[in-house]
Amino acid sequence: MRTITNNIFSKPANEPNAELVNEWNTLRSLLLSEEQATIDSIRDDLTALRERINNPEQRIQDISDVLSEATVLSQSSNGDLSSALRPVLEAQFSISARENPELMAEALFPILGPAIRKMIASLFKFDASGSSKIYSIEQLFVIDKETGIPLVHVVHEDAFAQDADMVSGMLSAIQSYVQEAFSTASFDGLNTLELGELSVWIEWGPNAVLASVIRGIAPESFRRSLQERLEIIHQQYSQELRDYDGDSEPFDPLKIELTKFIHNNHTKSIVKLSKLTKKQLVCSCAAIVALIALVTGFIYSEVDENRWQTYISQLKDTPGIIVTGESRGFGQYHIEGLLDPMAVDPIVLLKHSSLQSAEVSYQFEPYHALHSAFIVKRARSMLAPPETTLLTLQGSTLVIEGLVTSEWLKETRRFAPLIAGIESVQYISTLSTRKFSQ
Amino acid sequence: MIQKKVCMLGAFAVGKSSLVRRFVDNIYSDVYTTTIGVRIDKKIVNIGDETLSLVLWDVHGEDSYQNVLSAYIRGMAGYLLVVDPTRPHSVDNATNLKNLIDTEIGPKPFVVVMNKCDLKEQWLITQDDLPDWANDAELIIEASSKNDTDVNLVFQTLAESLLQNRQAQ
Repeated sequence: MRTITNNIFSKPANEPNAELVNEWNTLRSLLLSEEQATIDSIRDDLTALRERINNPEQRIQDISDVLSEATVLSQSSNGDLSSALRPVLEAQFSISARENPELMAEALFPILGPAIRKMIASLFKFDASGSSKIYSIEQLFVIDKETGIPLVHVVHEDAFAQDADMVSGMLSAIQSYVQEAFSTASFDGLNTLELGELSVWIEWGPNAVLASVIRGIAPESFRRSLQERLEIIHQQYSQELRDYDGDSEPFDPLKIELTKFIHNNHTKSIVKLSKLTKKQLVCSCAAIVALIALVTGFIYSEVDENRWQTYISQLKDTPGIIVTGESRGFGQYHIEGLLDPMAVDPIVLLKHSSLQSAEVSYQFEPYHALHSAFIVKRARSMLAPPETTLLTLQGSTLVIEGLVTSEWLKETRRFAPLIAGIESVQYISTLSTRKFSQ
Repeated sequence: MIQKKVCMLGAFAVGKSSLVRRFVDNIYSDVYTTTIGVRIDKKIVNIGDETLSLVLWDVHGEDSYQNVLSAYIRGMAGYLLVVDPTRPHSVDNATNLKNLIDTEIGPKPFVVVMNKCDLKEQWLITQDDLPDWANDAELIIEASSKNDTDVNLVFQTLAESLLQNRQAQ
């Protein structure tokens, strides 16, 4: 076989023949044209593949096309890819959460609520029906968290509403006050104000607050409805909430939704209230204001009590002051006790508290405190030693150091034991170490 | 309608609340304000074709409310800085307030009100005595809530400034 092939295809070495070459080419094309075409196609594909590999943008595109499927496949098989990505993702998540927590909170808010509710629901069984409870939603406020300005205010036609700007501002101010008064950084907002059959339920989101004025006793499931509604608002109006600059018009569609929400939650039993006279409605409205006033009054009272107790503790910790009795009521405060004339003035301490000095009355009896600092101070005052003399107290012994006259020392030894807290005198001369003791 | 939060700021008894009373349409209960140190009112102002609703936060000037002040000024679009020229110390207080605002929420449009111009013979300072920060004000206005002198101008000036700022954005 090889011999024949060589005879046919091999060119004579010493005598090139053009005709033979042409024939050879013709024969070759006849025999190998199909293979040649295949080789050309492979060469083109190879060139294209090389170009694709050398182009980074194309490579990114190629990987992105298959990455999601590859991740899923990896997860369902050995999970190697997931394991490899996990530390990277966790580190990045941690960095984002640390550097921009507000952004993370905002992004997570719409999904976190449902997730938490789902988890709690799996742990506890709620009385979700609420059928035995009679309640009515009279007003809903969607309030811009930053400014306290209402974005949407919806009132049931049977209810009487105060000015929405004022109520929203008040809620916002009360929230700020309470947060500041209790100095709790983790405070995440007032949730409920209650008085009789009226209450205000408040839900807080990253950008907006949803407040609901409720008549009657609403079931806990209604709070979940509010939370869900607020999450939906944050989903649907995330951009508008972020861009809010005083124009509430973009939130007008929300008004229709919330009006429906109010009607769906206005029970028949409560509808009877619509037959109330206008006077009664005004009274209801006044009750809302009174409710808020009462709650704030209570909060103030609690804060005031805390301040008062802090002041009393401060007095008790102060050397030279003994508190034997104290009372507080209706903005008037009274303290009784014993006061060493050398102690810090209670009024000075009062100025550092948030209490008004004019409202505090004192009844202190004088006494001599046996704190060493006071005894030494008293001894210095009564014995009048030379300025360069150092007086200290060791137990009940007054130690005198420095240059003194023998006459003064003699008098001191006689009178010092008459001072409360001193039983003996010890003198240390600076010129010698001789000690004189009585 | 555009709504803007505006704070009334100044030392105790410089006349902030009196200015608001002169200006607003409605007077609400004072019961809660003495407790939490702020009173909220509102006023609708028309500027050209635009209507602006000013939600006024009248923040008490007593020292006991200073801690919560930072929270109250949050979200405000502008403010009125009220001084009482019969009490030069009120200018020091205004300086502190201005610094607090610039630090906490950044510069905002403001109008300086030299109040009680009905008692001008008792004034101990004039506009020239105000510190340098007063040059940043939209306007320095001598007003009196007692005589209703230029009270509307005070709020109108701030409202116009807020509207211009919004349009510029």
